[in-house]
Amino acid sequence: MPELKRVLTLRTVVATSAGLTLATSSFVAAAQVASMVLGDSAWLAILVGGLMCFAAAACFSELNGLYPSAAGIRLYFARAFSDKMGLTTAILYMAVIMSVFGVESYVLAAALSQVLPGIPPLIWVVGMLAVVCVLNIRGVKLAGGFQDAITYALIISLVVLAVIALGRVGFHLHTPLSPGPAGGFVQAVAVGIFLYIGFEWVTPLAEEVTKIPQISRGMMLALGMLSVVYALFTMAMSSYLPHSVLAHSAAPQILFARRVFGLGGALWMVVLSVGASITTFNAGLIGISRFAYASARELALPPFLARVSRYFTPWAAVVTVCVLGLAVAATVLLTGRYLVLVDLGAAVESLVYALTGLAVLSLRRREPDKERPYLAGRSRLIPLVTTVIFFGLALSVFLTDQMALLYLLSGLLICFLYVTYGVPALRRRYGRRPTRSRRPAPGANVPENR
Amino acid sequence: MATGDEIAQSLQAFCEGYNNNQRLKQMNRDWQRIVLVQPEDLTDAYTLSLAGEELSYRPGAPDAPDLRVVAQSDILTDLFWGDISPTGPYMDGTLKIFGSEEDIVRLDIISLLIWGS
Repeated sequence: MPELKRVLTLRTVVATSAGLTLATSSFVAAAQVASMVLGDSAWLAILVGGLMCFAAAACFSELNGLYPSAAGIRLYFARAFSDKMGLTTAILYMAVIMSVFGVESYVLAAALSQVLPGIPPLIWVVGMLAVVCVLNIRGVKLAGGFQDAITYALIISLVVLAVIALGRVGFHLHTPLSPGPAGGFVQAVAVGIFLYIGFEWVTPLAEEVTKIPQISRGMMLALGMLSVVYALFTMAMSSYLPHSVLAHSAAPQILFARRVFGLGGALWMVVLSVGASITTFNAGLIGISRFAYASARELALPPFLARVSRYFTPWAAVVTVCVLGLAVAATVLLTGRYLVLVDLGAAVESLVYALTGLAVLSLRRREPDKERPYLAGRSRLIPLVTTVIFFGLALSVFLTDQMALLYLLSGLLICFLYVTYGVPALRRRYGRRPTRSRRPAPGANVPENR
Repeated sequence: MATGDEIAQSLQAFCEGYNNNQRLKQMNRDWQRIVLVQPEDLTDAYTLSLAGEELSYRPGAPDAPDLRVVAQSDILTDLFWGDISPTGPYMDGTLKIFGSEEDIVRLDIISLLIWGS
């Protein structure tokens, strides 16, 4: 088989997986985790969460090897369960990611407002979304090298800042191995899953690598790296800021940097936050707008979303996603209720990981002979454990945040009704009738090769 | 299952659709790519080449393609005749496209602009 001209390196796969995951809102989630356990044992919850994500990554790798497609869970769940289930889950998941988009805008605006208080947060949000929107419509792509540079600079900076900060308190931790009651620890692990949201978004790159296992290696390396970085940074934050401050701040990383390193540290942290958000916004917008475009092409979403610009970009989908993202961000700004979206994001991500484990089991039964370049273990242990653990984590989030459960149930009902009644109506109205008239009659001469 | 001749006809129709669309050629003038078309159920392979402003095809595989399009022969034939949109088979896993994400989206948009939605 001829090899493709351009292929991605493992370094870029790792940077993409880690870069999509490492966002400004991650600091808020890390602070929440720290406030849910006693003393400075948040690192334990973060590492356990990361370890569980390894199991989910193994399941994603098996599915990705089976179907190396950018369609991701839309395709995996359709093959494993049903087309309706695949579409419902994919639409719901995209809607939740869009709400994470709103949290990210809010948190970044809060971080920027800490050092530049004269500019209202909404202006920052509108400005950032407008820039990302225009770049995406013009088809300006952040180069792989740029993504690599930002991600690795971010990771190194966070590690260096955390080590210096911990060094200043003599690396003295009060209760590093006593997280407190089991319920609080489980909840901390569950919310900690938010820290890893998006690591699996690297699976579309399967179409750009030569060997599929490179994607799984990249995901695992990214998860390992992120677990260590988050654990270190959260320990450093909780060494300087009391839990009550961590729990209620929308920009805990800025408070921490200012306290330890002064204004210079706060400014550097703002630069890092902007870098983290740029890659996340860009990747999120590309991912969601392309999903919307592809869904409009198959008449699962209104066909106007398939309109393309002269730059070969789905402009209608990009603008729609930006407008919806802005609406979510504005709502969050007005209400200040960003934590419920953090919980919702963590819970839905956990549910998706649980379904991924189930999908592996289902496809092993349905398509046993299909080639699998990667196996999530030879037995059923890993997919089974993934399913049970992540359903449990989602449940623990919902037990403590009923509002998140209400949002999820409402979203699920809307998506289900839409897929059941709306999509068939769209297809009846806009579906094309096959026109075989372009084809020559049977027996016509074969054209000469050009 | 389609024959090699049927695939060749569909590729020629696709090339003609492209070459007769001046707006598309103008929009796409900076995109030069080589696409390997690989039916899963046939031993044949085909090459679509976009050089200058002209799209052409030839039988046989290229040395280093930018994109690789893999599906059953009847799906490929329907696709290049414009009887089906690539999105359906792509979403259900029966059509696989390997290459950069931008190139994959652009190929889909080209098909949209040639054959309509």
